[in-house]
Amino acid sequence: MRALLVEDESTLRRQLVSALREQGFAIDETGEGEEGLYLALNMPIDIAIIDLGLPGRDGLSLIKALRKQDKRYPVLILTARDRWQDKVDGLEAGADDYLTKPFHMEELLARTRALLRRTGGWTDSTMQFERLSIDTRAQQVTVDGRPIELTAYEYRVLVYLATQDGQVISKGTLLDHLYDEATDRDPNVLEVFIRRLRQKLDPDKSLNPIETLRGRGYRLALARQAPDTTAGPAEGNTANESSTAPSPADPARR
Amino acid sequence: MKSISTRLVVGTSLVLSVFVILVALSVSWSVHERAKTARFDRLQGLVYGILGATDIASSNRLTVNAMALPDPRLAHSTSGLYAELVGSDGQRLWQSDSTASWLPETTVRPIGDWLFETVESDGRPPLHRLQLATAWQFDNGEELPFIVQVVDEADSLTRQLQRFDRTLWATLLASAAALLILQLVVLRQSLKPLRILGDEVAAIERGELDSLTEEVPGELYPMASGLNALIRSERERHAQYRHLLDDLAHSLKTPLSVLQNLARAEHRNGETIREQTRLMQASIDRYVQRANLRSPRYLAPMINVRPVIDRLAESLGKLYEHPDVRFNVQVDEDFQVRMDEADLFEVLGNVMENACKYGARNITVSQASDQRCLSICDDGPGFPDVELEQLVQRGVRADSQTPGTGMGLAVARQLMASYGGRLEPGHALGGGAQVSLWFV
Repeated sequence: MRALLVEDESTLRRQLVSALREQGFAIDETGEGEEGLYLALNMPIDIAIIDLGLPGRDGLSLIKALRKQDKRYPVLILTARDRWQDKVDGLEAGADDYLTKPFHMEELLARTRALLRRTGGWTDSTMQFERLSIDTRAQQVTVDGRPIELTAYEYRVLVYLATQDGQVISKGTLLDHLYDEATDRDPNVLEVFIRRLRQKLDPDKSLNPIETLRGRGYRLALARQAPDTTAGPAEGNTANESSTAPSPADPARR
Repeated sequence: MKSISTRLVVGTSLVLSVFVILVALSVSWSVHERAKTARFDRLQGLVYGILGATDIASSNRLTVNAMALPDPRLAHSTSGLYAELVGSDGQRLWQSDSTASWLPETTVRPIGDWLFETVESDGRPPLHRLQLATAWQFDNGEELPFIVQVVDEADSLTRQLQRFDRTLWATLLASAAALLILQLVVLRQSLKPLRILGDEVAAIERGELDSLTEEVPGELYPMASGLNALIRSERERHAQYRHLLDDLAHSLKTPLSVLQNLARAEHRNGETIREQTRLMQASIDRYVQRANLRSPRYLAPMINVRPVIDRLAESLGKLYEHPDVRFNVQVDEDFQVRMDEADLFEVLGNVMENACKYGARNITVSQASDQRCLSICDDGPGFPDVELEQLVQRGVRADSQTPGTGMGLAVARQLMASYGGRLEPGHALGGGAQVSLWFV
C-alpha cells in the first residue's frame, strides 16, 4: 500500500512516516501543498493523509484538485481544526474521513485501515477469502484457522492483492505500491516474494491462492466471502474499528 | 427629567406661561392706564366747565350758572356724577343737583394743585375724585380761595375694565392651551425619528435586526451610520478574535500531537507526558469554548438552518458509512435563527453525531409545531436511565474529564444557552433518544 502524507510539521511527519512504515506502507511525504498535489496526481497512491493548513496550497484546495483529476483513493484529513463546520467543508471537498489533532497514532492507523477496507468494499477488519483470512487489525493471516508467519513484505503483497478485488496487477504496479524508492524495485525480488508467499500459504498446493498471468501480472484467485450485510450497525464502521484506540465517542454514555 | 420630550414639554410650557402672563399684564396695565388718563381728562374738562360757569355775586358769594354747566348729568339727581365748590373753611359754597352715594372729605391744598384719585371706603362703592384748589381774584386784588371737587362713581367703568380683564385672560389662556397642544403634536412628530432609532437599537439587541436604517433626518444620520459602523466593526473584530483564538488553538495542537506520539515510544515518562498533553488539550478546548460562548447574540447574523442540517447529514453519512443510517429532515427551507454559523454547525453536529455514534439507523430532524423548536429523534438504544440532566452537565469541569468524552451534548447546550436558547435531552416515542433545541 502506498500512502501520501502531506503534513508541514516535520517532527510530526517523521513520527507518522515511521508509524505508517511499521504498518507496511510505502510513503510519499511532503510538507508543502503544491508538491503534495504533484505527488497526489503522479504517484500510484492508495490512501492520502492530508493536513489542512499547508504552505503553498492549503489542504482543502489540494483535495479538491486531486478529486477533480479523478483520483478516487481515500483521503483522510488530519488537522487541528476541530469544528464541525471545518469537518463538513473538508468532507464536502472530497475527503472520506476526518481526524483532529492531537490524535493517538493507533486511532490514525485504525482509520487508515478502515478507509482502505471500505475502498475494497470490506466492512470488517478481517478479510475472508475461502479458507484464507487476513486480519488487518492484528496483521495476522490464517489458512483454515492456522496462523501463517509472513514477513512484512510478504504481508504487504498479500494485502495489496486482497484489496484489488481479484483484478490482475502488473509487477510494475505492485512494485509501485509496495516500495518508496525506485532503487528498491527489482522485479526478480518480487518474484521471489511471491514464490515464498505461495509456499507459506499453500504448502500442499491445494489452495493455489495467487495466480500468475504470464506477461500481465498477478491476481488473488480466491473467491471473496461477502461480508454479512445484516450484521449490526456497529460492525465495520470507523467507530467500531477505532474502538481499540481512545475514541471521541463516550463509551459510558450508553 | 428623563426624556428629551419631557424636557421640551416642560420648557415650552414654562416659556409659554411666562409669555402669556407678561402679555396679559402689560395689555391690562396699559388699558387701565389709558382709562385712567381718559377719566382724568374728562373730569378735568368738567372742572374747567364748572369754573367757566362760575361767577361772583354780590357780597362776594360764588354762584354757578346751572344752564352753563358742561355735563347734563350734573342736573340729574341719580346720575352718579356730582360736583361741588367748597370754601377754604370747609363750607360748601355750591353743589350740583345730582347726588353721589357718598362724599369723601375735601382736603386743603395749595392753590393750583390737582388731586386725582380713586377713593374707597368700607361698604361703599369706589369713587373717582378730581379736586382742584383755586382762588377767585377780585379786582381789588383780594382772593377768595376755594376747592372745586368732581366725584364720579367708578362702578360702571370698573365693571367694564373687569370684564375686559376677564376676557383678556380667558382668551390668552385658551390660546396658550391651544399652542401647547400644537407644540406637543409638533414635538411628537419631530422626535419620531429618535423614537424609531431607539426601537431599532432595541430590536438589534434582541437580535431581530441586523443594522439600523440609515434613512433618517440629517441630524441623526451621523449617529445611525456611526452605530452601524460600530456594529459592523464589532462583528468583524469578534470574528477576527475568534479566528485568532482558533489559530492559536490549532497551532498548539500539532506540537501536542508530536508530544503525545513521543510518549508512545518513550517508556520511562510516557504516562506523565500523555497525561500532561491531555491536560493541555483540555485547557485549550475549554478556553476556546469559553471565549466563544461570550459572543453577544446581536452580533450574530440570521442564517438558514436547513442547509446546515443537510450538509451535516451528508457529511455524517460519509463518516458513519453504513447503508442503514438514514436522515429524515423535516425542516422548513426558510427556517432562520440568529446564530453564528460555526456555532450552529457545532450544536447540530454534536447532537446529530451523537445519534449516529450510538447505533441509530433512522434519525429524524423535525421542526416542532412550535416554530422555534427543532427535535432530533433516533431509533437507537436511547439515553441511559440516569437523570437526563446529568447528561448535559458534564463538561462543566472540562479539566476533570477525558477530552472528547460525552462533552458533545454539554457543549451544544452551553452554546444554545449563550444564544438565549436551550437544549433538552429526552426519550423518543420508539425508545430512542430525542434532543430538543429551542431557539429564540
